[in-house]
Amino acid sequence: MNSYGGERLKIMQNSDVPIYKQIAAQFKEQIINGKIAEGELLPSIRGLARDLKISVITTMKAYELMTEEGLISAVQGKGYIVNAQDREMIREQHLRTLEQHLQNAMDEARLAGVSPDELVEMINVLYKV
Amino acid sequence: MKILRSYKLYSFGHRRIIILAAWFAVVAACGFTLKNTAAFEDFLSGFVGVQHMVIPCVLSIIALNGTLLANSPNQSNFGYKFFRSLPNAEKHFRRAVLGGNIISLLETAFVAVVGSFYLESTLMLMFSVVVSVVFLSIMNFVTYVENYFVKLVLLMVTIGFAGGIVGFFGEQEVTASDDVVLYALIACAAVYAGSLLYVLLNSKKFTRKERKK
Amino acid sequence: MESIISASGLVKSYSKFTLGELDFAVPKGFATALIGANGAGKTTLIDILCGVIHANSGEISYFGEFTDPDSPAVRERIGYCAAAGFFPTNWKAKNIASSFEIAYKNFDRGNFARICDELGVESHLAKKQLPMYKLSDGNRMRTALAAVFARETDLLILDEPGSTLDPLMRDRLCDKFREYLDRGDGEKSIIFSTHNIADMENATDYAVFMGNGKIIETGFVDDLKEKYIIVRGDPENFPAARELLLSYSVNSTTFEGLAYAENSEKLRLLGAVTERPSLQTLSVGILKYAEGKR
Repeated sequence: MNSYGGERLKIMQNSDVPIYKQIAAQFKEQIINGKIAEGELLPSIRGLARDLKISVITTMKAYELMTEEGLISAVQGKGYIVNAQDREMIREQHLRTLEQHLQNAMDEARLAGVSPDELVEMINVLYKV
Repeated sequence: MKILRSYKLYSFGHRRIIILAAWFAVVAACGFTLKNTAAFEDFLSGFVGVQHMVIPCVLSIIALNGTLLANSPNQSNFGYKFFRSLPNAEKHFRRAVLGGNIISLLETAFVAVVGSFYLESTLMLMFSVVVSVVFLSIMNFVTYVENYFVKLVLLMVTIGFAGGIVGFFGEQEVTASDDVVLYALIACAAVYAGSLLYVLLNSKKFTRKERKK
Repeated sequence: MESIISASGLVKSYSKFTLGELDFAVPKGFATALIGANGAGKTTLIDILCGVIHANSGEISYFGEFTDPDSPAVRERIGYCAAAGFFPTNWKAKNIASSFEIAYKNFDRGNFARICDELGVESHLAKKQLPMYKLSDGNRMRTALAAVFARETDLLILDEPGSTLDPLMRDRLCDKFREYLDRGDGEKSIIFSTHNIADMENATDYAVFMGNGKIIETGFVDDLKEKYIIVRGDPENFPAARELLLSYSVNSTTFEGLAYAENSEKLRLLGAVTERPSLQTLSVGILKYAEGKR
């Protein structure tokens, strides 16, 4: 029944990010980079809750969020399966968000008097962490 | 069968019953050995006491008081929440009370049979049976009395009366006619039936009774 | 959403305490926590649901098809366990096993032995069994839970199952809850009461908050965590923030309180910081709010 072949999820209990968002983000990452294939069945809501030691409503909410984003869809009597993904489009979306964030970073840098070179250096350092 | 199952549901220890039966067997064996000796008279008076008090008293208390306690909301140590939450809780309660009665009656019959080996007077034998059954009836009537003091007083008075009457007849040369025996038996059966009816009719009310606040 | 139990107009009055009037529905397929202070009426409600006592008025619907709490069909499907002294104190595991076998069609001795092992208590197979009165409160609860879990049921109603357990065992209990829900795949549900929610947070889907015999708030935990926020700020700003706070505590260095999330922007303008509540902080805030309203 459980044909889920993706990686184990890692949940941080005390993070500021709600657990359902952590779950959705990790699934999303795996779906986008192809670790979970189209048409694959995700673990059942209650099975995943059991494995991750979290409440059922949390996994349910994560799946709802992914359904809203069009990543997965509910199949009556079976569970949730991964939709066909337009990876190019998703990547495009992410690039746009990234651009937005960089713009914000540059605005802050200007206010703080950080030079472009210093900013690049900061990014390089953060990447290595 | 259902009655037995419901009785077993309450899981009263059987150890007491077994010890009692064993002890009674020893007493009976003593009787056989002592028969036709000088000590037999003394044995008899002791035996009658055993017959009247210990057997019905202990057995009915185990059976009847036990089922009561197990369902009483005012007793937190006997698991009333468990028994009340069971499927067919009230039926089980009623059957268990009935089961307790049957066991006590069987025990009375058993004692009477053993007694018939020793007691030459049929009247005497009948009388002891009557006393046992009356005792059991009283037990039934006080089933729902939850105040221990009241219950105890009622029981003691009955036991005292029984002992007194038996003693009285024991000393007299009993020459009552058969009619008296018959009437006594009928009256006793009627009282007993009434007591049983009382217990069974009030079982629903009792299993819905609530904790005193 | 389908409900496993719903009640309308439920009232139970005692001379000093009245439960209700209660109207609520418990969702099917989830673990629902009854959260409330001592004396809030959690046990009274559970006792009514399980037929230990009877309501004065109102109606309960079980599994969407039954309305009689005394119906054997309902009781066969409910696994109930009271908070303390559920069984006669002189009983041993073997008495529990034999009584469960007589009383229920769906009790399995093998399961009972296995779950007793799992929870670390003596089963009916143990050579020397101690009577309940010789066991600690925690072990008594474990034995009772093992018996309840050894039945094939569709709904567990447990009164304070975690209170007497140590932290490790409470974690085990949460695992058992999730296993149970997973096994039912949406068909099995759990209702449990607690006044210490912190350790059970990750096994709680739906919360019913009770105070002084009434239901104060209900909802899925994740929704409630978005409906409310925890607010912290400097005491100078407290008078201004006060009317936005549902409940609060204040001292010379800080104030802390509960507010509706929709007011978070206003509160931030007052210099307060806001954060997503945990079920524990949410419970404290809501119960305090209910107490303040009295």
